[in-house]
Amino acid sequence: MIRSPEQLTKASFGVLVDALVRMHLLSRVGKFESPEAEAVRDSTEEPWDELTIAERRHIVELSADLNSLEENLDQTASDIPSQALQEAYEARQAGDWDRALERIRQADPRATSPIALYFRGTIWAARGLNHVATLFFDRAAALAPDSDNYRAAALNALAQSNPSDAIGQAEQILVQAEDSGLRSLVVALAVVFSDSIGRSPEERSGIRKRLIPLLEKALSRLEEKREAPILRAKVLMQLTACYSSEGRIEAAIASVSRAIQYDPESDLAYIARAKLTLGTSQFDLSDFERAVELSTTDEVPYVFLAQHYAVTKQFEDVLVICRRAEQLNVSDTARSMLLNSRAIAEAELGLVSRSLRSFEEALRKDPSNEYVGQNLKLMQDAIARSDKSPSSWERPTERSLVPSL
Amino acid sequence: MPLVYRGMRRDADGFPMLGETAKTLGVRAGFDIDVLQGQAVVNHKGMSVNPHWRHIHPFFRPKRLGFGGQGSNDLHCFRAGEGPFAASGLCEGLELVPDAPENGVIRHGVLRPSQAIPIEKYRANIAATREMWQIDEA
Repeated sequence: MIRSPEQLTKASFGVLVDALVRMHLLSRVGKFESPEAEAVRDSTEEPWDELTIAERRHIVELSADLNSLEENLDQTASDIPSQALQEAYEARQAGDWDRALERIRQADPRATSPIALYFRGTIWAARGLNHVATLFFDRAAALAPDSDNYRAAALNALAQSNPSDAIGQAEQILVQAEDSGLRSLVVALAVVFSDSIGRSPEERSGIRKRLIPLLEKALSRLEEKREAPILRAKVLMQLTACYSSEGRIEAAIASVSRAIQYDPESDLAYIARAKLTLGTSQFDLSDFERAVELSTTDEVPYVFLAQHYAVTKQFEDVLVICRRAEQLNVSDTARSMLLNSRAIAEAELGLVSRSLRSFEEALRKDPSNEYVGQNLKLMQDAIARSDKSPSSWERPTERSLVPSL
Repeated sequence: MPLVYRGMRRDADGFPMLGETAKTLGVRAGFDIDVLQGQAVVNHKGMSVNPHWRHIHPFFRPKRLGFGGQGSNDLHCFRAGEGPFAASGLCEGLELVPDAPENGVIRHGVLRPSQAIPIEKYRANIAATREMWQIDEA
């Protein structure tokens, strides 16, 4: 594969970052002078030559930061001036991560301030380097063992970078759920819940059954402590999926509705509720419409709404929803269904040649889509009869467009 | 004669260890220097050197010196010469070719053969500088 210079540089930067993390971890277990460490060093020689000046500076600065994490381990945690933190915060908010880090380094050169360490971690996480962020969050948590926030941040970053290690830590937290800090408990629940998604149906069911009482207790604690609504919504969304797995659909619907109350901007919650209520009197099309308004990247609402608008003869709306979906990275199956709805709308609006093109494109995207083939034939027959459009169209059922929760 | 630095292992006599690695005094054929029919090619390649030890590749710079070094603490920063880090001869058969400046600063260069010579002769020329090198980590 030929890589562009930019990609090459990016990959090399990643190699160097990974090597730094590896060296740090080896050093922590007394293997800094080991053959393993020497192999890591040797692996950096060529990637280093491929870095830009700015990237080299970032690597050296990160290296110094990681080295500082190994020093001053017996230091009492210290604070940094609030003004420095404020300046760093403003720089981070402005997207100037380098300046934010520089300000923090100046204020906390010995890396002994938990808040400064936490702050550094947030910047590396924002850069997508969660394995680096984890190291800073871990150190912050070690210096301030009473802070549940730092522990939660560390576990969250670990979950992004090393899910299998995160599951181990999360399970330990769940064992002592009653005594665990609430924020780290919520992260631990999310880690174990996420792990259940990729499991077999039996394993998934077992995990989710076990999670239900833990999630319910966590929710009660969150409500007692009036914790952030967003956290409560997060727990409620997990509960929704767990109830649904158990066939407790009414409980799932109640749960997701509460999640929406706490977080009305959650597109996933609206989609979940629509999926749960589809085919019942509780189904409200506006759940899918709200998800689209919130610019969801889930393809289901677009596919569903495009067909629904076509069925209800809201053809202009079909074109609008299909245009919105054009920007999304959707499956070929979904793209084919969207094009099928668009082609129908175009035919009904008298845009015959555009309709034919849309049907053909739909067929190219998914040659196995029988509805497209049938509708294209109907359209061609209508043209042969000099009709504006066919009198009826072939359509899948609405349920078949929406996978279960 | 330009002032150059290189991170290397120290031999028992205090001078750099000779060898065909990135951490000894010497070059790796085909990696540090191109070799064609036994001859060291004169191009942009050669033994890496830097104008100051802080510019040495961080993974080949001893950690104990700070500044983000990740190199083994068994490595030492050696220096040779004393003039400006500019294109010039270091000693017979070897010349310094600095890289282009980056943001106005030259951070790296190579010691290459002054002319195409057998690779073993090039290595011998490098080895002949051994006693010119002394540790300088200030």
